[in-house]
Amino acid sequence: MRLKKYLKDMTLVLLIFISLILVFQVWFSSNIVPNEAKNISETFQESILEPVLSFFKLNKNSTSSQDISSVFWPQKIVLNDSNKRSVLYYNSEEYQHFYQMSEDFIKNIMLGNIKIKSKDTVTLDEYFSVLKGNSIYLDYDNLYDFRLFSVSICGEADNEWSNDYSSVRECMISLGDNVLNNVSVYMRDYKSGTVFRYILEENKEALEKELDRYFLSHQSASTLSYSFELNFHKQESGDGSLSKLVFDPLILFNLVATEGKSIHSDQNWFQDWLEIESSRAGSILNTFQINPMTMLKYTDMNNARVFVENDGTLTISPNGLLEYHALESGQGLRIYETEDKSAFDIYAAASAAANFVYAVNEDLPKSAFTSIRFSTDLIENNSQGSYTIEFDLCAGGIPVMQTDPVTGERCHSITMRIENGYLKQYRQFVRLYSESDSTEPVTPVINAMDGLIDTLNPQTEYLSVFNVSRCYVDDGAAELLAPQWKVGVEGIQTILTVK
Amino acid sequence: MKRKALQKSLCGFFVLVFLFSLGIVSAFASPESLPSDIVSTKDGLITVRAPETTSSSTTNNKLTISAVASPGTIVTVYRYDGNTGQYQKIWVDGSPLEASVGSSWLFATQVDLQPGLNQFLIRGAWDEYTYSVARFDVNLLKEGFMDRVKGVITVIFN
Amino acid sequence: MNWDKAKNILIIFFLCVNLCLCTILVYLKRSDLVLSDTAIESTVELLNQHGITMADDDIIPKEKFKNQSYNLTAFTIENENMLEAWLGAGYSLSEENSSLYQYIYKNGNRQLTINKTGLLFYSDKSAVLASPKEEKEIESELTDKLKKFNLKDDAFYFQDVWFENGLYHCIISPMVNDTKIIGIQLEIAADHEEIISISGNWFTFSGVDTFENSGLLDITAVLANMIFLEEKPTNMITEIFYAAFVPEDYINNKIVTATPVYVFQCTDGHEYIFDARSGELLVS
Repeated sequence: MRLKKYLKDMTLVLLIFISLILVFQVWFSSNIVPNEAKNISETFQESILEPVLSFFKLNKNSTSSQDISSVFWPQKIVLNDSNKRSVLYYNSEEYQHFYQMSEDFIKNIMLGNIKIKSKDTVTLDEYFSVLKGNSIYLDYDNLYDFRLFSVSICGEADNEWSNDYSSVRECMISLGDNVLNNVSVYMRDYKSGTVFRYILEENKEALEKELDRYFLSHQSASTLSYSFELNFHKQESGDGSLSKLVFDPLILFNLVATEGKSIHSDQNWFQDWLEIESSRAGSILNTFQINPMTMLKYTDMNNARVFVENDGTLTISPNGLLEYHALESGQGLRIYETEDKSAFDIYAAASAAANFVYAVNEDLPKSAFTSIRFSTDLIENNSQGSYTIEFDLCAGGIPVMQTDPVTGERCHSITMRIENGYLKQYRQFVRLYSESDSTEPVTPVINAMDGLIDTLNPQTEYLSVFNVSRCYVDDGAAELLAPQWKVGVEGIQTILTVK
Repeated sequence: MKRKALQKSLCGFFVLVFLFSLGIVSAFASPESLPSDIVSTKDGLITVRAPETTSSSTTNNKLTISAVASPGTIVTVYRYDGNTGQYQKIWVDGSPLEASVGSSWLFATQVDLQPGLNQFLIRGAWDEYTYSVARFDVNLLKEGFMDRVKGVITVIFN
Repeated sequence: MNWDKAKNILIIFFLCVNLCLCTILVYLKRSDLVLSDTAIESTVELLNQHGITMADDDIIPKEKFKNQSYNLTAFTIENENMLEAWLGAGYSLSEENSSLYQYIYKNGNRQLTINKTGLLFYSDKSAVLASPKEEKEIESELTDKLKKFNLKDDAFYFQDVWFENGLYHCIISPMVNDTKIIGIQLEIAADHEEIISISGNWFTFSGVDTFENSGLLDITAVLANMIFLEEKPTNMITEIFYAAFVPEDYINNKIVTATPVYVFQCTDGHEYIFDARSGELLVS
């Protein structure tokens, strides 16, 4: 009897269980459960969660300052005291220390936590002379819309300083001379040419202590001079003689050869990385909104994988070149949501570009040694709504220039062309660099300029040099990259590099 | 025998070439010292850009010197030595402060200043006999002097 | 309360429920795999109303096809023994431009030109002309001959066959798991003795991507969409089949993907190729 009762119970439980499974199968049209379960979660996310979240989001395009600040940082920080000078690059601990300190300091001024004692304008000579005394010079290397600077420092695009600045390139924190105890901040608006000085109600002791600590622990002799100290920023001398080269006043000259670390470039890692797991290409496709179920794909004769969707073509080459081209007939990839075309300005474009680059590189292997930063001027131009935004991949804080496979010219690691919120073109050299033990001499800037003139053989009266900074050059073949100089010359669009 | 004679004459020729080239180099090398009253044999071979004035004062114990000269000009920096009454070529870490100007036309270097008056002479030469000289003085102020100035200003501002 | 009786009733109830559910499930599964007759009938009716006629209702395949893309690798690249198979032992490289992937190989009276994925084979011999009656004979011989050229008979189908000037001509295209591949073809000329010329591009099957989560559009849906075409077919549709398509623009690549399409052929030979995933008209 007991056994019969037990069997009845078991049958009933089994039948209920089977009916539940069948109901589930019927509901989800008999496909296998895991995929459907996945569909449920996707549907839930798409139909319920995302609309609710977006409802609470004030602005869909609100720029994440995290993304901006991850690609917007000084190309170098120069620490100056009256007798010594030192250049810090991004990946050094001292850079991070002084950057954090300076950033916090400026942020507190912008947010009103540090009171401004007085604000006035100063002459350029006075501005440059800040660098002869105790000071911290944040050199961003390019011209940037002030909102980018502001959002990277204090997380807000607008603040009390917004009325004074349009485009900025550098910021100086002066610890004054030996006489006055106040700290001053100097910034130049490149649009109006005005230099503002903010004398702060803040004691310089903390900053000075850090500067002293640095120079006590780094005793090497300094042989760095600014162009304005050498008077290489003027074409004409006092006696009327003319120079063949005129430099931006803030270009830093190393007067003797120094040692610079070479870096190691791994040429084959990308192909290996892609082939290990097929989903890796999938994550890149996802960022470019290419649907694997509707795309066309092929592998060309050079083993580059090409994916074609309605709006564009994505090419992933085995050498790590990632290229997206919007079809001429298509709009491209929408990376910024706006109905009002006039709202899409350089700030919006740079923000959208930073977010997109962040998304693309999120799935790529990361190395603490490499970092990405904006590499071109980001100020409003005449063709509002259409922008080319470039990024450099930096190794040890120093940008690595790439070699265009078609023209053979130097180019930046990432180039984006955006029109009214749509990505029209994207090119990235996906590279992996690591530290190397070997060092190579870094030639003095003057010797590098000799080489540059020999190469260019200019026919003009003089050349105006607006930028000289350290770089590496990756030609796609060499495994060990030695330090070089990147030179910006007025009127020459191509990137010039010289050893 | 003939072969030996040929070898000897070849060796002799190379020795002569070597000595001759050595002679050229030593002829072009700048002299170690220059008399205090030295004057240019050709004007305009070199223009000193920094320091801007022929007489200046500083508290910085390093002085940056820059100049502009045509390519190929040998630029040498001298400091006046009161003991000998002559300008002596400056040597740093076993090398003279001397360079041949390249295609950029630029020359720049840095020297350590001694407390008090420092008298410098820059010589830009095409060869042993064709050169320009430029003089300038820099006075390195002592820290004590700056402390006195600081004291006065602190009193005024506070 | 008699629990024992209640349990019996519940067991019978759940048995009935499960039976019903199983029936529904089988029906649903079947409808996933085949088109319903009603759908086909109403589509034909709709097309008729818009002047698009069909030779027969039966030409519409009832089967629902899987969303699959076929990866095809260029024959010229992935086939190591190809040169010996096509030219015989002792062949030599006559001309080369490796940057453009262009090669010319020769062996006696045989010559093979490779231009990326393109092939041009030519045997310089005096052809043994045959009569049209011998067409079938030559065709059966040809299949064996093509095997020697590493072209296996289950990997291709005859797209077209004709007899011209005493020579047998045909066009073959790849076939993967009974699915025709459109856009890739070789044109062959042969006589009784051997293959005289082969020209075109050729690829071999190297893999399939199946998208379980995303089905293809029903063929009836694509057909119904034809009423919106600017140039509707004026002739009767005689054949409809599922195939995979490689666009001409991509033919010169190492690996290409043939995507699922529906092909509608008309009496005048006019062909409409629709993307089976999006319904987009690809070729008309």
